[in-house]
Amino acid sequence: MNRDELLKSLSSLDFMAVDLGLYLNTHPDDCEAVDEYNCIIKAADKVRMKYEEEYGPLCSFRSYARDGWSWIDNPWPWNACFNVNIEKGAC
Amino acid sequence: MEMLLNNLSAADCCSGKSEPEKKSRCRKGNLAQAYVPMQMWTEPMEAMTSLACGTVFGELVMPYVKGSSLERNKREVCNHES
Repeated sequence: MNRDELLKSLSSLDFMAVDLGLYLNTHPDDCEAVDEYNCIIKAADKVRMKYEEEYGPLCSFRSYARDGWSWIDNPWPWNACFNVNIEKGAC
Repeated sequence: MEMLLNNLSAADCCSGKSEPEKKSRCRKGNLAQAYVPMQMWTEPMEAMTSLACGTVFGELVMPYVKGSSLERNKREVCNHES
């Protein structure tokens, strides 16, 4: 996967984790949902590690500093050019 | 939640307010009561679709369409699918 594909994949997996977390707040005993949540967290971690290995840290305090302190290198995650567009009509 | 609702009862809401204010802003009873059925687990949609739809659950995809209603949207989607 290239940078944009990794970022898209990570964004969507992180979103799934957030949304499944919301479901679990009201259904804490739903084992199937817990399994799905853990599965998504694992997949997101894998993509995050892969992204950061190749393209640098995504977070200033949770990411490994693999290549010196590259957090201060542009672009930063909140810069428009850092991000990818989600296709309209994908829903 | 029940305690919170009790705390918002008309009596509490009106205490310490002037008569006109009580008449205009405080009502006895509730304007409406909402009931939301408990969601049941359904298999999540694919990750990119979930992100684009704003939910992982297909049954919660309810885009707001100006001038339309949820029931009409559902009917249209169902008619389109069948």
